[in-house]
Amino acid sequence: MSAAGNPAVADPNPERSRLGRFGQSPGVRVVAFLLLAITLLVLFGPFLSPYAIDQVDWQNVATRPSFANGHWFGTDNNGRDLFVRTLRGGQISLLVGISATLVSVIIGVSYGAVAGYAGGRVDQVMMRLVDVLYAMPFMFFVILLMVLFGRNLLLMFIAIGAINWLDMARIVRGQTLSLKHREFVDAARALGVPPAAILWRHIVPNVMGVVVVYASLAVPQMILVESFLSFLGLGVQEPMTSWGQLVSLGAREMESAPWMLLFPASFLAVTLYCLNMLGDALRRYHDVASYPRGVR
Amino acid sequence: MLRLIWHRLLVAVPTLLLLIILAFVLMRVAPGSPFASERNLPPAVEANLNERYGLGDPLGVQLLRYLSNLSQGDFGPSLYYSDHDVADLILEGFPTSLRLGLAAILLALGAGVTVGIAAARRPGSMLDHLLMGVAIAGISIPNFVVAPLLILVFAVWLGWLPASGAGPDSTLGATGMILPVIALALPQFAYVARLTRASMLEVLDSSYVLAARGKGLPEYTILLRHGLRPALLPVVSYLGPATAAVITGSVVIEEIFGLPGLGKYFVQAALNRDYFLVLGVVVFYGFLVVLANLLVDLCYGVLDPRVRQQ
Repeated sequence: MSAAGNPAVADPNPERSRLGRFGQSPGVRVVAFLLLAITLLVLFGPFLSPYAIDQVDWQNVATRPSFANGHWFGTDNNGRDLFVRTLRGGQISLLVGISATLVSVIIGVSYGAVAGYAGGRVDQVMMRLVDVLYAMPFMFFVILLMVLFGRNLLLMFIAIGAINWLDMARIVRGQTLSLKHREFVDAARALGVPPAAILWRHIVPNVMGVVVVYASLAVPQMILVESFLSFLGLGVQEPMTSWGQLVSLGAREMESAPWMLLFPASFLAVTLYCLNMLGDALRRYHDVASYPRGVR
Repeated sequence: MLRLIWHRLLVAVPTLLLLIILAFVLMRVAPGSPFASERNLPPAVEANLNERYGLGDPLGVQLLRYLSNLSQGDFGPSLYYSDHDVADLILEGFPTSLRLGLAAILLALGAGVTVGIAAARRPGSMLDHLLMGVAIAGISIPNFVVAPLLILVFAVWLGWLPASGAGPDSTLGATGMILPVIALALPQFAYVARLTRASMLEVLDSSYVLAARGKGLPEYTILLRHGLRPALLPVVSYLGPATAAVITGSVVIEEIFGLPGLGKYFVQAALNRDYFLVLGVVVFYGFLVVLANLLVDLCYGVLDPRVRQQ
């Protein structure tokens, strides 16, 4: 079988060789540039506009985008500037995405590293618990939490972050299992380093590469969950807003004011797309398996 | 095989129990009461209401009573839609949700596997890039964004399809289901396509596929008979999470398209503190997810003889 006849046979991992070094692929560069542009726009864009997030412009209620009156994205049906609202909403969405990912990384890494390092019965019990939790439809609980305890931003970070730590725990545990019999760990143990210090100084830094890959894929998921909640009206509260909430408001007015839907929806979609592309490229670059939940 | 089923049931039952207990406790430690919306309820009346529904007893007693009723198929009364049993409400909304969800899963599976195979045949080709770009878009763009956009384009601007699933006489036309099903299926389609592609690439790289090629078997036999069956395993195991995702997705999709399904009860009932209805929906959904996972494991046993022998 010649290499030209079937690339799948000839090259077991064509993506990696094609991708070459991370960051040299034009696709990755475009995506990274877009993300940077969106981040900068979201952070500093609101200062460019003369309007504030909750400022009502009675002369322009639900007007289409225009440069003449300074409402570059138009206004919503309350006369609020959509440009400012979209970007300020983006601040919340990005903030939630990153903080919730941090929560899930902290829980997942500590749980997985402890389980893997402890091994034996402790490991079995801890991982069986993960199995049970895995089968739980977590979104129900996030929705319930938000409905029952009101829209508290901090609670939202924790609730969203708490969904995604299971994947992280499994991956870290697997890595820890293969790390804990390496020579440098044995050496540390022989020198009398306490387990906690071994975990923190020797195990955790070594799993961080994989963790970063999965964390980068988790950020868009978290943003998605937040916007899902906001869409249901369970997310952030007025006057603050988020992309999900703006999409939900826009969807109600889309026949008369389609820009109310189109601007926040495209910001959300493009950001999530870029984050996923970037995370995916990172994953291929580090050659990490695409799906951790495969065979159980 | 029997041992496999037994083993899975051993995990399924505690999962379901944990689910019920968590939901029960969450509802109860939350502030608010089901009767708070009725203004200026005299304390005596409220006490009587609590008494009537057994809400005054210690939490543990209530939980045990709920579990024992549940084991006899009694989901309890709805506290908000008085005169209705939770079981009735669930049975009323479920057929719509089932049709929506089943159609979405079937569509996602069929289209996803086809696209995955097509992309895996020529990795690195233009077609592969295109299809996988679409797949990442499908994963990235949430269905509550896709759904309004679909309505905007196909119902408002083009006028080809109805915007709402429920017709004038509130019956569900087949055309009314097209947009909701597509919106609900899209993310799952994308996941399935990516999974199929990845596992197909791996399988096509194995020595028995090389042997099949060496024998000179036609390409489609290699792909469909030798390649697809083992390549489907990760796809099958994804169906468990997919069911859960479709259920949560349907909460939003049903709201956007105004479908009379089960999803609408979930958020509204929690807002109303309709304890038994929320619990009923959570238990029902949880049961479905656990059941789906069980079925998936059984399919696994059928597809992969190695699992059976464990």
